[in-house]
Amino acid sequence: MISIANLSHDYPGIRALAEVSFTLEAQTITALVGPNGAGKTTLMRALCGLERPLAGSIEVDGIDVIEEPRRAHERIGYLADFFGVYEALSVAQCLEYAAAANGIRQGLHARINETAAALGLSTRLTQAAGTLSRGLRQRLAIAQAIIHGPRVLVLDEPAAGLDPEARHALAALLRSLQASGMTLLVSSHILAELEQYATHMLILEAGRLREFRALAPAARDTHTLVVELAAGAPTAALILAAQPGVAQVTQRDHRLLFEFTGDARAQAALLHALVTHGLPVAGLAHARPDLQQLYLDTLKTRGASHES
Amino acid sequence: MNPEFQRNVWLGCAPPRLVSAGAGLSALLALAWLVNGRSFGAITENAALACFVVFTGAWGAQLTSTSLIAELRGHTWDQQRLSALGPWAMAWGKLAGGPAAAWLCGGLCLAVYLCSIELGPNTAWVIVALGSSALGLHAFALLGALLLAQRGPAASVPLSLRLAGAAGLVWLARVILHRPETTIRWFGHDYPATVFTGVVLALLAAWLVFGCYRLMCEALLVRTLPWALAACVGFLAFLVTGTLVDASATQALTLTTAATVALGLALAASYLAAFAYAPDPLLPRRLLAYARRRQWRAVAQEWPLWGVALGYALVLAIGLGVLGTERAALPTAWASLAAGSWPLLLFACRDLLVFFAIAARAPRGGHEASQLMYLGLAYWLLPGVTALAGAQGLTNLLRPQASLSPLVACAVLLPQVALAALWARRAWLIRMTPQG
Repeated sequence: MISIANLSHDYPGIRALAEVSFTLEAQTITALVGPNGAGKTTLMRALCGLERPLAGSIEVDGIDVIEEPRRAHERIGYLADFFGVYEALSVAQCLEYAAAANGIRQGLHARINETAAALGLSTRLTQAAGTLSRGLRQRLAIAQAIIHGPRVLVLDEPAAGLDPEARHALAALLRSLQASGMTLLVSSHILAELEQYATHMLILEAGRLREFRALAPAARDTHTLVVELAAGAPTAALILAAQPGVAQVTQRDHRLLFEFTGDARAQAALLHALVTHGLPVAGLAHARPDLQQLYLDTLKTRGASHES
Repeated sequence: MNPEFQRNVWLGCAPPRLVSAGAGLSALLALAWLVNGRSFGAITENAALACFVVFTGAWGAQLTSTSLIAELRGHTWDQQRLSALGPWAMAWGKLAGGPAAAWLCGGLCLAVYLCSIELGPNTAWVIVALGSSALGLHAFALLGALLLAQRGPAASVPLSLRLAGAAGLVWLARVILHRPETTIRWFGHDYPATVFTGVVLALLAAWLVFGCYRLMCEALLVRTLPWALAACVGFLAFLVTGTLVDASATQALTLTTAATVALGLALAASYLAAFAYAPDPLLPRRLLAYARRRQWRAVAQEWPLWGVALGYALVLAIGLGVLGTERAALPTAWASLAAGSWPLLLFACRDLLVFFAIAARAPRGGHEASQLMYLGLAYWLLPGVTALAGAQGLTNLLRPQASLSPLVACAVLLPQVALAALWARRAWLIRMTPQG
């Protein structure tokens, strides 16, 4: 859905992006993370056709963004980190303008109502945008970005300034957009929040791509599981690794993290086998990868390799 | 309906604004009607025209520029740039929608004006001229706002620019209204001044609107080839040449005159573009990258406007060399311009390279004042001091005199251009060096 090759972009005295290349599959949510000044916003703006890069190519849904930015815009929705809304217009007028400006002519009012309902703005349609709370303004801005049904949605720090409840609602919204067929690229400094919905992680540092990996397992019947032990067991990792369907075992204190291929019946058999081997199993559960740890590990590993 | 036009009408024609502007304007016009003895006459005519200049011209220009500047301030400009609206829809949506309230006021003013005068065959042309002037002023304001947008969230169009625009409109109104019976000679034929002025103003307004479209293309990253400036310079040269030659002029003389005028306009455009556009220190790197990849179309599309204007000036200087025999028949000032085409081109190269170097050394802006100071030093202060000291040779080095032969002047200027190029390159390399 998104294909970026050898993308480079400069600011005076700064290389903001250095030959960045990656491909994002359709219907994925990619967390774009990196320290301040890593080039995240520049990458997003170039992807949306708002910046003209020095070199490289960007394709969105098969359209060359650099050569045909206006055509690409029909397929892209973007929420900037410092977004704005037309404060003097009502929510309905803001949505009507966003839809019409993106070429929606047929069923305009149905689309407005549908989008407002999806974002929980149905009761606010006549309210002036300038009188909305921060969270509601955020929702309105997202509604404006998705009202034309883009194939790709790019969100720069969408959760900034939102309270926990609004963040939870945002995560649910992003998952539903993914389920509806959208491909999302989301940047945030709040990694715990990204864990809730990201399927892939892309780490940028000093304009370079440091890591791009899938967070969710590739196969449908492969899961990341965690075994909690009640006490230390030196042979636990070896015993676990020897079981059928188990791969990539890592041990941290009394926790064993591993990839497991198999259905619920196979999980039950695994649990039985571990107990039979005398391991003090306190629990077996699905685990989501710890994005924060992964991010810090990646930066640390790269930093160490640079020093050496 | 164009969504951008509709949005601007929503914002600009809010009932409180319409009521307050309408009430204020009606009160002024009613006062004029009372002073005129409860009838329409000279006082209501002048009041209606003055109100048209203020409400439609000046206020409309402010509203038009605000239609873009408010986007920058409100962080909604990127959202607009990301829409599927094309540059033309965006440009006319802002031009027509931004000052919609001002046009409504203008309609009232023109109605009172028409009631106050004796309608004649030229009345329609007066209306065309007034409408075109206001439209041109609005387009000028939008051009200014688009140029400011390149420099980030702008404060507003400078007051001086607005005052200059309003003064221009008043002057134009005077020209139109106080010369109804005179004629204008153009290419040896006489045309009624009102008709001629109306047509010319309408064409100039059309060019300004087209300029808005081209700048909007740049803002939306829609690539265009640099032919518009040549066409505009050609149009203006054609217009001016008509006032300089008569029906008996030979084709060669007409061409020489047109080329000389066009050269002057192209050189002026190069300086104007250098001041108007925000300097882009990354542009040389991008152009080099395109050239390495043999993307010549991209090079042409991104070539800076001042460079395009200089390119046209170069072509015209070569053309004048070919048409050189007709120079003697030109009016004195134009003959000097034609004779000095190569030195003038080198002066422009030197100055624009120095401008680039100054801009590269001022990453936080504020380079315009330094560039103006440079012009003052190079053309007035230093040559003035050396002339006062009686050092004519040194004066010629700084500012070659018209009495010098073009060849000698070029010989004096070429090393200066080379030095300016070296300085510009060095300043650019320092600017592009990674910091920290």
